[in-house]
Amino acid sequence: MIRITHLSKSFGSQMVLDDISLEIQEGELLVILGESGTGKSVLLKHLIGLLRPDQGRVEINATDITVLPEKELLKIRQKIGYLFQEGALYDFMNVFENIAFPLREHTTMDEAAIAQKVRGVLKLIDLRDVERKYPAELSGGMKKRVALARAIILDSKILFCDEPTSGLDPIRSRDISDLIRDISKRLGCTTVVSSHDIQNSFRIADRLILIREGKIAASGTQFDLKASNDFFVREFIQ
Amino acid sequence: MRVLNNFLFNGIIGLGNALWFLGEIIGHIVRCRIRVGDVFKQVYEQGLQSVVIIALTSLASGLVLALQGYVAMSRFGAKEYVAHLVALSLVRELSPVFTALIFSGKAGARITAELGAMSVNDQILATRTLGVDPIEFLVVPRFMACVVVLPILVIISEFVGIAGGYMIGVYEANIPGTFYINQTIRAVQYVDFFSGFIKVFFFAVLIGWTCCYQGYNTQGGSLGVGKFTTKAVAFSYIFIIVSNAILTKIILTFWG
Ligand SMILES: Nc1ncnc2c1ncn2[C@@H]1O[C@H](COP(=O)(O)OP(=O)(O)O)[C@@H](O)[C@H]1O
Ligand SMILES: [Mg+2]
Repeated sequence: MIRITHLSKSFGSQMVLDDISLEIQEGELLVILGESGTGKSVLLKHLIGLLRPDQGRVEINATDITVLPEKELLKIRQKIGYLFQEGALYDFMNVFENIAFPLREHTTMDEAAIAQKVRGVLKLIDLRDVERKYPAELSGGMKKRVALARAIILDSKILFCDEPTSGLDPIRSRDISDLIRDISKRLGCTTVVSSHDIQNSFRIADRLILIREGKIAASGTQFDLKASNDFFVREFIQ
Repeated sequence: MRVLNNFLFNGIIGLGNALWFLGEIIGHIVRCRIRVGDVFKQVYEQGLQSVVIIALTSLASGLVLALQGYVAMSRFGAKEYVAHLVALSLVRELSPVFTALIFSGKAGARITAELGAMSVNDQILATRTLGVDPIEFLVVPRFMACVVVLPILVIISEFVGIAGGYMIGVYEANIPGTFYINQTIRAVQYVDFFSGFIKVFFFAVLIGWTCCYQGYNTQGGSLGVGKFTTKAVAFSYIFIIVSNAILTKIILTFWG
């Protein structure tokens, strides 16, 4: 379970997160909605310790990660998958090496076992004949799939995805959204996805929160949000 | 006044961050958290990239030094000493400084551009999310490679430069070949070689430090990569020139 309590973060005089409290249950798929620039990425980065809050705590399975030194965080992050907006694949490694990288770093698996595991994940993300390709030779959607494969290769039980549909056409957006939902449910991951893509968020979310001016403006299932009388919520989801 | 204060303030913060960064790198090295395979890959790439232009520059320097020296010294009937002139100039000053300058423009720029591109594409952050220390994985191999490659390139530069001088000395000034070589060996003493290498070591650390730091902290997309890369090369140049002056003074004071 992930518990965020009274989380605040400013950059200079700009308050980005203002006293956010939130709990995410085990196995739940939560979508963070918000217009761009509202602090969705900043919030996700706090959940994995890439940013430290000014105030508040982030507990992952009852461990407050905001006070851990980087060395401890590196260990905890091995159990968390993080999908960056643009994938952030190593461009000096091909697809196979990218996906195998966490296995080579953190396990003692031999090459045969690694190859087998990578093939299995490639099948899961439905990509074929790309193992020897480099990220520069892949389309945006393929990059995100490969990055997703790299994020889950260590059998993470927690998955964070930062705007998985941004920059993709409607069909690819739907595919990657469904894939995230599918993988999340199949592996039983606690999943947090940030997005400003209403349609696909409604498709996949167990629960959604809407962020506005650093606060949670609304929270609930898609039906709760659709039934909301709040002017801003109605305008955002129209 | 306000502007100056800000400037000083940022300068001090920047220097503090850069020193902390160097401390991190050295911390990894003394704890032997070095990925030897990656270091060799970097050594190979950085060395291969710079060796031809450094050899060419050194050959030209040796030739020109010998030509000028031979003409000037002939007036005093001391053309035999051209071997001394060439060898000492190269070993003490020219090879370390020229090699370092060229190296920072090639390998240094490459380091900053590579790390910078990784930084703006979130690959450095991604490394942390994968539970891997980016300093150990991406920075230390590049830094170590500088420290390994630069001395090798300087030795190559010295040999090629001396060979250039030899050609002029033997074919133009008609100094006997064995005499020229003997003079060279006698001219270059252990301390010259040694003092040259103290400089080279400092240059390598300065280049590796500056270029890794700028690359690691690159922001602002592809424009940022360009900006930080030029900044890294400019800083490296300044650091090399200034530290060379200081080190020359210190070395001459202690070893004459
Ligand atoms: N490292 C940083 N330094 C300063 N400002 C930042 C930093 N990261 C994000 N911000 C600011 O925080 C705000 C929220 O950014 P972000 O979380 O990326 O928005 P989004 O919801 O689109 O993901 C933006 O105004 C951005 O300029
Ligand atoms: Mg974002």
